[in-house]
Amino acid sequence: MDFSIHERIRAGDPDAFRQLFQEHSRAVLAHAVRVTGDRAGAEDVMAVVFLEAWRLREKLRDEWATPRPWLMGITVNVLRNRARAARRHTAALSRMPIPEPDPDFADELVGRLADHEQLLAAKAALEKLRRGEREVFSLCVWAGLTYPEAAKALGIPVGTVRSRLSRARTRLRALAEKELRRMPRTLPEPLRAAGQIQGGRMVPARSDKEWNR
Amino acid sequence: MTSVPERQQPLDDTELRHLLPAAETPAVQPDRQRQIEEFLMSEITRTPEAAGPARPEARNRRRLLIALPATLAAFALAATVAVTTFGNPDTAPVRGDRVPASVVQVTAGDTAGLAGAVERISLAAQSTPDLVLRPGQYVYVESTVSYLMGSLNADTGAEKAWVDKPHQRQIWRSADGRTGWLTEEGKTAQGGEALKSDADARLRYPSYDYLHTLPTDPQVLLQKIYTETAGGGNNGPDQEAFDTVLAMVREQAVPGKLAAALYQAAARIPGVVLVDNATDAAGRAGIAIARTNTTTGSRDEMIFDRTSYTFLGERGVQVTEAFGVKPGTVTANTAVLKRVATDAPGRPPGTGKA
Repeated sequence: MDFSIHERIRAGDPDAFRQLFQEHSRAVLAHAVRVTGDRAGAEDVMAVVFLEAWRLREKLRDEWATPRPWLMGITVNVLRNRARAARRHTAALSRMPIPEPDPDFADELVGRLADHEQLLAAKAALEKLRRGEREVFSLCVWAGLTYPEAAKALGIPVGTVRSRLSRARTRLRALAEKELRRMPRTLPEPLRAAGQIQGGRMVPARSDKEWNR
Repeated sequence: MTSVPERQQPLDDTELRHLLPAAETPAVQPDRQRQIEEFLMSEITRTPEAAGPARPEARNRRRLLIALPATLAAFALAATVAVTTFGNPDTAPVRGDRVPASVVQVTAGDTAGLAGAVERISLAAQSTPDLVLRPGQYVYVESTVSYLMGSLNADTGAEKAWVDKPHQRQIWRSADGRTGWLTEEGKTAQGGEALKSDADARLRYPSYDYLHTLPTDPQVLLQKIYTETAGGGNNGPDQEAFDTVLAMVREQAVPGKLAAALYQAAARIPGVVLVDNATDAAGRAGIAIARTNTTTGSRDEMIFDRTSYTFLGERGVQVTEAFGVKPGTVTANTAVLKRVATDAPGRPPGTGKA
């Protein structure tokens, strides 16, 4: 097993950092997308997470075979206070390249909007949980961390992870029952006809740099 | 302490996922991903502080303890999780999958029968048909594994080593080693995780293709191993070389000629001995080519069948007390149960269409 990756990251080895990015950036991005419901903004979150990881690299410890719990802990912190985290890296973010316009965008618009609706619905449901429950739920259930890893990422005991998850379950069960009484399905029917799209829900370009929600 | 209190048992993840499924997150365009990667690389190398020295306090007790499972665990491609916790009992795994490590009588190894045993093991390896991948196929290795997860804090007076319960691990690897799939109970998400690597194959992370490029002369191979693994870890060059051999044969399809050369090379590493009686994670007893890692105090054993001389699995046995782990403690145990070529990553061979 390559524990030396931890050592190399701590030592400031750029190749180790590149490996860190290649192996974990997708997980960080997916987590940010799901929690914020904002794809373009999530790229900024991801960039800040890795800039923070670099800044805090000496704090990486050897307890885990992979730096992922540590990185997810940073992600949670960045998501808790995006404005503050972004402020620390304002200069860097201003240098971040803007994505090329996507030529397939029009073709994919309908499918993306359907995904986007689902994303927003899941995010809305997540926001009905308390922050602690929300973080534990999104890390354990969505990002697939084990309880001990989530505990490590959040800096809380494993017992607390478990009890928060249990509370989240109770709350989500109650919500599901309420939703079922109100309408036949929890998630909205994906939009199929382009004509129904009002526009404006999805921001095709990168969202503003100010980290507004 | 074998029974686990109810409150420590895991919640039903399936129900949780069902209550609020994770939204699909569309794949990022590879170009965009690379663009951000290059942006970050240029940001972190902007200032001269980029290459500061490692902080010495990072080398604490924990790093040595973790080296015990590290010597045996194979996580070659990408992110896998060995749940390893020390010190604070609150952060101990709660899944009810821990059992006290078994303790065996440590029998000293010796070099007397080593040459003869290695000769027979090498002959057996050469006469075994090579596992051949057709284009697009994957190497599939199924094993039972169990690793040291922690020992309770010595401060509390309770010094007891825990291992995770022997559990199944299945790995699929593409010929070039860049993609694959891994399922390991309690370690990966249910259904497993995709493995992906952008790194080139090397001795420690060999791919099927890469193994076919290696020299099959034991001395040349050994020289290459020393050259390429020198300074790669904290265990000294001999142990690094031995660990490298283990990493190469563990979860790969090694061609017979190369396997024979690897075993012969291993036997030439100083400190390597023959252990007369070692048992793999499936309970199969055999002989072992072994070396004691003086940094961790654990003897890493490569176990072979006593009559057919085929590779069975691995065992780690603590031989000198270190960090609360008593001599005789089995710190790692594996058994390779199946090693075949297969078509579909994530689907065990023999299920569905082949």
